[in-house]
Amino acid sequence: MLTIGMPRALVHYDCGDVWVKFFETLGAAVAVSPETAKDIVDIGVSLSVEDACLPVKVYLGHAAYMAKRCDYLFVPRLVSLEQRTYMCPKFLGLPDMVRAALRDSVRLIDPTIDLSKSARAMTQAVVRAASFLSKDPARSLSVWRTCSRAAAVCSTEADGRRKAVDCEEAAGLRIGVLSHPYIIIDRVLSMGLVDRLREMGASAILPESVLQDAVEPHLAELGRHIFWTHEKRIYGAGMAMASDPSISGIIIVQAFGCGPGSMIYDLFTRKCRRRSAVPVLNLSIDEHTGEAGIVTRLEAFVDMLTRAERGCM
Amino acid sequence: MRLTFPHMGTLFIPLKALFTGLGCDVVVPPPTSKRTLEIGVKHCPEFACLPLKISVGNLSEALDLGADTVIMAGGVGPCRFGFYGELQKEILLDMGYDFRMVVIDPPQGRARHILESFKSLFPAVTLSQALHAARLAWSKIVAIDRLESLANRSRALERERGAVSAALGRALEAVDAAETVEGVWQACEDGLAAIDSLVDADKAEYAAGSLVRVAVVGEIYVVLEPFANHCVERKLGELGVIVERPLSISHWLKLNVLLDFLNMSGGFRPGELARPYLGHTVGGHGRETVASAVKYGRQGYDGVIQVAPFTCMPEIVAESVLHRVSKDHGIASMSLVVDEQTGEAGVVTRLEAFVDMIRRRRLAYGAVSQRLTAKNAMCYYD
Ligand code: SF4
Ligand code: SF4
Repeated sequence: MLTIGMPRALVHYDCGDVWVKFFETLGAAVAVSPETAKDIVDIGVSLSVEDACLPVKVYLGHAAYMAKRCDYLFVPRLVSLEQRTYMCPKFLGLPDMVRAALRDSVRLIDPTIDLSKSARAMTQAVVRAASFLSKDPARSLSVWRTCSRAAAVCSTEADGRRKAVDCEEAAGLRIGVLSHPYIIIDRVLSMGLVDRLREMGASAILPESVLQDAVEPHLAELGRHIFWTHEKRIYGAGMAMASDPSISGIIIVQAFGCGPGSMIYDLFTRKCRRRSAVPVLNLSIDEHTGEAGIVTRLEAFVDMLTRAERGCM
Repeated sequence: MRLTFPHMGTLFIPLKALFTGLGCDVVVPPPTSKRTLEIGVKHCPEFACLPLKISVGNLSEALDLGADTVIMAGGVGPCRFGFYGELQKEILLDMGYDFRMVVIDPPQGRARHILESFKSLFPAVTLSQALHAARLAWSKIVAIDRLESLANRSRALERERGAVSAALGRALEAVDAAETVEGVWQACEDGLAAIDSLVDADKAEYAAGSLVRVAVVGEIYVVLEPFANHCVERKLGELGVIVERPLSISHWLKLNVLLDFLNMSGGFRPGELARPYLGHTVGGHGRETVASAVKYGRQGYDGVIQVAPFTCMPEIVAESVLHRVSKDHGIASMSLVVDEQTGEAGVVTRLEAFVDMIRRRRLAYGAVSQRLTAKNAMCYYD
């Protein structure tokens, strides 16, 4: 049986689960790389150009790890998931960066997923990605439809509501955490931020758990369309958090040198400051970031919020 | 209305002609200086790309001089440029300025849209006035490109160090001052002749084709702005290198704005050339960088220098694959990543080392054209 390897990083957190199901249903074995660990980071750093952001370096580390353990490496070129909105340019060049870093040592499955003009582009991507497993496009497509429908039920609106309910019930301080999914879910990249907050008696509210209805008005209010998928969500959710009195503070976790983040977090900070007094902590991470420093800043921030909270009561 | 815009190399010359012709009072920002950069660095986010920082400095300095309207090009992503206008506006507001910001979005291939957006901005202007202003601005763009391109090919051959750059400066001033299209052509021809007269045509090396040839590619702003790239073209030229710079204002307009309805790609197909290394656009000029490296590699150039702002996403992607182009096409490559901390001395050292390496390689293996026939020489580049 053919084994398809998937790097557990970056784009995997956007669409990985569906593709795992899809390839498995078509009869391939799928192996996802383990959670990020120091050796994976080190390999990634050694394979990348110096000024790439840490999430990209970590992706290359995962790709190198999987390359030796699979027949095909799945590296989708995720260009766009919705009209007029794109992923970061580094997603657009991801398969090429992987090929260059691994010197063609593994075959890639790299369908281009570009739904910026029409949602039908997905069909092509699916058929192409499955072409070496199934010669029957109709079957590929029907499998895809089943998988993506199942995934849609658990990921989008329903999941959002469930998360929102979880958040409502969350005890203690509620702190908004603005970051990319591939940073915050990755315990090494985010230095276990969510767990640490929990240990300090606070709960992290992520952009994904803010309901779309709360996000939209803030995006509409902004004169300009934010043309990056994650940043659009982050900005809208951040503004919604800033106007939510139950949120006591907001933490931004960005990769050092992140391009889209540099613009959107700054825009958010400016707009937020003009409208609300919610304290904002800005953390940036790269391969040289010391965990101790981050923890100290985090503790000080939570302490301050706790004291402020008590003071009010 | 007192109009201003950020600098990008010599772009202010045609922009000034255009907006003056449309009846505006134009405030050209003071030339980009250390102070400009300091203002930008102080008020922009740390990880913003260098062009944003410098442009905010430019605009702040121009607003200090009494400008009240900022005009800026827009964009639709995925690179940061499309969001510049929005952020510039917020930053300048927080700095306490009172002004109007006009963002002109790319016309998506339609000339009519440009005309329409301009019309709403300058309602009093007649069509013939507008066309006249556009013709004058365009002639200046073409003149500047021709002058700069000749200067880049001539510095290596000048009899007296710095003479070509000085002549170029004078010619650009004349183009700037010209008020008619005929005047622009005259200034251009005079400038070209002046630069030509400074060249030592008999230089033996020239005849033998033994001069080092290098292409300068990368992100358009830092490629076109000598302040940002520490005068990389001039420095290379004065190291005895023939410099080719495919990016120019006219090239950019042809590729991005006029392409669709005039079909003027000029035979340069970045998608095809870059495909083996980069299979998709990545915003900005990332794919053009890779395609140009291929193109000049095929033409037997010795080297390609990629100039990119620190954190520039498209150029980071390009940089990641450039070593493969270099290996396949036998063209040496170097990435010059610039930010506010980049020092002049460091750039000089790197450029000298790069040119030295090429010269040594030439001595050992011959010119690229000869090397390409001997396939086994390629391992040298790994
Ligand atoms: S969005 Fe930022 S962190 Fe993510 S890949 Fe792009 S530059 Fe890196
Ligand atoms: S091309 Fe690079 S430097 Fe230029 S605006 Fe885009 S991200 Fe910034």
